[in-house]
Amino acid sequence: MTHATMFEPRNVAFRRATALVAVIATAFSVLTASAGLMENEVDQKGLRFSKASAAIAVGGTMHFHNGDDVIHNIMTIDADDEPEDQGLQKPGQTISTKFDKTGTYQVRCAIHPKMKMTVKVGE
Amino acid sequence: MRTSTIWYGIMRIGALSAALAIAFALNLRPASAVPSFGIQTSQPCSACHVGSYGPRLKTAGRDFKLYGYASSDNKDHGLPFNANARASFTHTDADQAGGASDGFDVNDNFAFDGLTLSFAGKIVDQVGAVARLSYNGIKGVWQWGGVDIRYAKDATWFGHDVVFGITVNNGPTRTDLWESALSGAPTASSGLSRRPKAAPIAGSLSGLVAGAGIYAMWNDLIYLEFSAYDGFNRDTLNALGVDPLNGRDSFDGLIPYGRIAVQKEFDEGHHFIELGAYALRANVFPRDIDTAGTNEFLDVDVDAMYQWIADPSLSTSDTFTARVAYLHEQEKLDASRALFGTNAVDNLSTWRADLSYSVDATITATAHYFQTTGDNDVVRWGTPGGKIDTTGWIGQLDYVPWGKPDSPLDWLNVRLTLQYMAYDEFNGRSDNASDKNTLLVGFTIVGTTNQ
Repeated sequence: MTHATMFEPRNVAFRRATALVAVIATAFSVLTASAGLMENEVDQKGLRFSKASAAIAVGGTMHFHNGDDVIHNIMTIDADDEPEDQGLQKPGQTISTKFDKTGTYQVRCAIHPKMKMTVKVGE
Repeated sequence: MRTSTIWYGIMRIGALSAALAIAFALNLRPASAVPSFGIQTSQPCSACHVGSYGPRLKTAGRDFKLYGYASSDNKDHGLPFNANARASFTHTDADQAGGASDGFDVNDNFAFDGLTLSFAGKIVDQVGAVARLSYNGIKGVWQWGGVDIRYAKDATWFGHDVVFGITVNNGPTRTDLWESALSGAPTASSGLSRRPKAAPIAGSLSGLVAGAGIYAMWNDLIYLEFSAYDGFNRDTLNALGVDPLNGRDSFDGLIPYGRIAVQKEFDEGHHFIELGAYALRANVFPRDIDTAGTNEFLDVDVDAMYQWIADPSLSTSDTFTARVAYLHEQEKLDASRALFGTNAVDNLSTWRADLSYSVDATITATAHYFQTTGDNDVVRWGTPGGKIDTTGWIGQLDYVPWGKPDSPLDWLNVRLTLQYMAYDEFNGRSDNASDKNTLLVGFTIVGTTNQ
């Protein structure tokens, strides 16, 4: 029996344990996603949102953090194209917006019209 | 829509109409700084402009123009009027016989170059405008300048964003997002320095024509524009206070203008490139004589721009910009040949290129190269041998202390300019070209009424 062979059973057990942890972690993230996050964060930096889309549960809160040195704005627009102005953000400021209804919302900066992302609010 | 919003829109349209009426009754030249845009959007000048002062744009400025000058912070800031005053000292290497201009000395002149009043801002949702009216301190006349009224809207097309718009303006290339025209001086010039004889017609139409066009930007990548212009007749130009093309020429029919460009941002806004081209055709009655047909001018331009921003999250970040543009003009001079004996066809080509580096959006250094070459035409140009070739450099240093997030007054900005323009060749002559070399020390101050 070589040295390597002697340690093979322990190596296999380690791999199995790692795989199990990965499966559990994946299952947890899938379950969490399907249930919807109660909180989610997005950065605004370089005149763009850090995510093109984000998911959140009904009643959950999105945190938009202004990482630029200029003022931004948050506008949420629902499926009926109704905008809601969440106000201006000074540099470094975070705007937290609660989403109480299911649906897909567009989030835009009224000052920088190219800045846009979607927020999917699910059950 | 609330009643107050409607009245506010009507009031703004009324104010713009009044500004335009005054502008049409007088006559003008472009000035670039418009702090009312900054107030409208709660942004410092440095957010949109390289070096915290116009006209060079960064991504936010290009987008603001693309979206029709109508983006805002959703607050009411009042009417967006601006005033821009300019003064300078000019020294040329050799004295200018008879004075640099009427009422000025042969050299070393201090001048009040002018005052520009402008309306610049949102009118109603998705509609905005810039309309300028200037007093030319060198000529002592009021002039109307850049006008650009836009409607813009975005949508989704083939799964990607598209921004489309309509523009009404008074000069081809005025609508450009990348400054394709690349005028002779980077951002400052003096009416007291000598200018070469020949220039392409594309850069000479501002204020002489008015037109409308449509444009679209697809996927923040491909830009297309088509416009058509009509020239004002001589009586109208006189009423506007504008000198006709070459003093007396007039236009025949519409002037079509088309623009295509591809642009792309890389590395989260650190790098930006643009490649583009435009074409324009104009038929001209020389000296307003319509008995011998027309001269036909066809301009084709290709241009490119690269911009690097050290930190896109900081509006005051260092910025490097490189631009180059080549333009060829084919001039079919059937009318001029029949009437005056010029060449039947002349060709004119220009190269423009500049490099600029802006430190902390406060100090900006620019090196600019310009070259104009063309066919010799003694009758047309009246220069020795009929030559028009002109080549030279411009070195410029701009200092802009304000217009940044921590500046004390967001409605006011100033710029100090030190510029040296050197000619290697001027109208085909190299021996005395350096006589026209010009040192310019300039000061501009700009403020806005909206708060």
